[in-house]
Amino acid sequence: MKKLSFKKGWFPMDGLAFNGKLDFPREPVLEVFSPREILLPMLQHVGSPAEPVVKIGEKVEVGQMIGRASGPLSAPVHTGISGTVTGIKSFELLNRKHCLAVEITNDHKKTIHNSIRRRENPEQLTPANISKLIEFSGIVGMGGEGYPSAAKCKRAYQDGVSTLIVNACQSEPYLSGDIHLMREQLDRVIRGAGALSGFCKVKNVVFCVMDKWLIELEAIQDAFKRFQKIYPDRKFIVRVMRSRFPQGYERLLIKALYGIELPAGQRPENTVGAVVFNVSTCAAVADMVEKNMPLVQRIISISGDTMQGHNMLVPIGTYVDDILARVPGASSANRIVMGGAITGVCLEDTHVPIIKTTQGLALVRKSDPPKTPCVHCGACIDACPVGLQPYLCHRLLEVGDIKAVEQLGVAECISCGACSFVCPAGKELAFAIARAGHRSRRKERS
Amino acid sequence: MTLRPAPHIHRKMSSPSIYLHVLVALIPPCVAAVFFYGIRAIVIILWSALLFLVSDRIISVLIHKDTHYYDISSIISGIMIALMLPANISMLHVFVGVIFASVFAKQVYGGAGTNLFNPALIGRAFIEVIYRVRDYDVVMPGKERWVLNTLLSASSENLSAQTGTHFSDLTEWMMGSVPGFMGASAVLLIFFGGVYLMLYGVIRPHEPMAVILAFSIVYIGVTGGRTESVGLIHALAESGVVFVAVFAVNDYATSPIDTRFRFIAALLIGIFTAVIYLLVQPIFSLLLPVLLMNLMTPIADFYSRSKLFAQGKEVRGHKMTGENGARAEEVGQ
Repeated sequence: MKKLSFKKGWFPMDGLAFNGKLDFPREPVLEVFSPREILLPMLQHVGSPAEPVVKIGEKVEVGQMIGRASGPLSAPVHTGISGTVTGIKSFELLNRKHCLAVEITNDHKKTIHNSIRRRENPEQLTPANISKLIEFSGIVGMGGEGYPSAAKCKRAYQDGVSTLIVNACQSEPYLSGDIHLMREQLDRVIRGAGALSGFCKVKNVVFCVMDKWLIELEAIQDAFKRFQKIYPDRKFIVRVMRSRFPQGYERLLIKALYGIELPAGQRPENTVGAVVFNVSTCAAVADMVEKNMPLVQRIISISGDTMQGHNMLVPIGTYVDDILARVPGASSANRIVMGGAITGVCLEDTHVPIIKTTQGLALVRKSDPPKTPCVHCGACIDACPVGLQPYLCHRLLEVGDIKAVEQLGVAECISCGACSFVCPAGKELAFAIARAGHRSRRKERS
Repeated sequence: MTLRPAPHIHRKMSSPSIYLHVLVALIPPCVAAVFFYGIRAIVIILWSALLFLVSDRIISVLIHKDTHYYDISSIISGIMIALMLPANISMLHVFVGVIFASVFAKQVYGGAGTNLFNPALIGRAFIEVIYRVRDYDVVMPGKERWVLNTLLSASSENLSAQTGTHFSDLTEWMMGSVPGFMGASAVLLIFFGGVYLMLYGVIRPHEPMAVILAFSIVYIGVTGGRTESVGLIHALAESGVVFVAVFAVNDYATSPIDTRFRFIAALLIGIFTAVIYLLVQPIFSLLLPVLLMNLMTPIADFYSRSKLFAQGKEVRGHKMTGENGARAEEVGQ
């Protein structure tokens, strides 16, 4: 099959695990983790925070709603463990936003809420029913975007999209949660995609996978044939992408599939008629449609140069230090990174919860590259997927010429971090340029 | 626990490691120099490298107070100057050239990475201007140590008869047995150094190949019909164009940052080198084209703009019809 891609970027050749071994995404059994207590921030998505509907001391069960959606662009929050609410406090998220957070202590009984039961024939649900289910389930874009899926579906339906793209291009090295879903829980993913496609009224469902994972394409095609009978009016297609970083970004995915370059701020729904959902989001939708189980847990990849990487199924809200206590080699790490090793956030304090958009944890022991003056090598130009000249932007930002930087098109920056990764001089290009790009976009909008 | 902005992992290659790779690639021509000129070559190379390092270090401490790392690029420049000199050069001459290169070609512009001209070539050019090294009695390489001559004697006679020069063996030219430069004419060994650099991704193969191809085509085109012309390999060795192609054309700081401009510059360097080599002394064919390219590099960088994603244009899309709609159908098939 023809491999699609965009220009530039770089190939993470050793980008499967820190120790270079291929086997860890293949391990079929996930480690299921039951934490002592969890903390559920009410703002785990784009939009307005949810409102807590429980009181301190109240008994809660798995799947019970903790926070109610407070507006059209909001998502409810549910608990993944059963136990007692022990506190409702103000919490500062990693992006420095403040919101309320509910603390729940586990009673390790796993009492399941009475609304959760297997649905008899999930294929017969009408779009209106699916819409209500997704709205209730609190599903957000789990690839890190955090946009409430219900709002996205409605927007896509209004724009009249024709294609649903399932993004399995987890292009960032060392993250493998998506590939676990594609490899081991493909039926669940396809059912979720089928439900979403029924809601958005699309004809084509395109699965985008990367060639680095050596996926058994025939297995996927077989699964498609089986599901063709259940969803006769939809066409399931698989497309293979080159494993180039950062292929997973929405705009680069559209570029690879359609050859169309979307400017910053334009959505694929009303331009190419496609809506993009992450694999994890599809799997969560399948849970909701089949078992009425809202989004209460997710797969995170834990990897690092101090340990063997593996995937773990954790309830949302689990503290990072609880997870790290179970990981051998975590104490010798220099940095604990929430998210991927390239775009993640370095944690100052590990007593923070996993939220719906967390894709993994990276434990990094490697020291920083040596800092030297720019050697004018041009590696950043060859790496930038949106065609910026990072060395020039960085130099102009150093001297404070914001206007010139904006003329160079810094607003297009997708903050992927490719320039910093390849820079032999150890310059923190991506940090400065992404911040300038963010400011530039905000200025354009206002 | 240390905090720093993303990304948290990094490519293995860093500037010190790049310089180290270049240093390793410079070892084969140094070996050639030592092989042909003995202990004198070692002394000159070490003297030049050490002088450049110390001078750079002193000036950077005095001016920038930038003392957090040792600059291997100084050693590289020092070795390159030595390799482009004849072996009977005085150490005082080397001193003058190296100090000039270090001060006026490198540190005045702000040190490694910001220099306008390649310091090694500037240093060599300064020695040439002050002392007219080209008028020296050039030392002939120590041919008696060349044991391969006897090993390949059967084929070498034929080859020397074809090319018609006073050198007996093609392999000798390949190994740098040409008077004038200590190491810059060791074509085969420099080629090995270049292959090493390409394998480690320090340089692209495009530019060295462009230089050598352009040089060869122009050289053969001009001298092809003449009987007294020396062979192409001899020309490559005597003009030092291979040395330039591997170590100077791809020099990050002084070549255009845009790969297209860099390739064009490489082609022009090849042509200029051939023309100047055929017209005047080989030393000018070594120095002038690259220094010209260095001069044009800021202009090329000013005009090089990579293609911006979406070019800021709005995509006025269409859902189902029109061009985009057609593409959507295509994806659906």
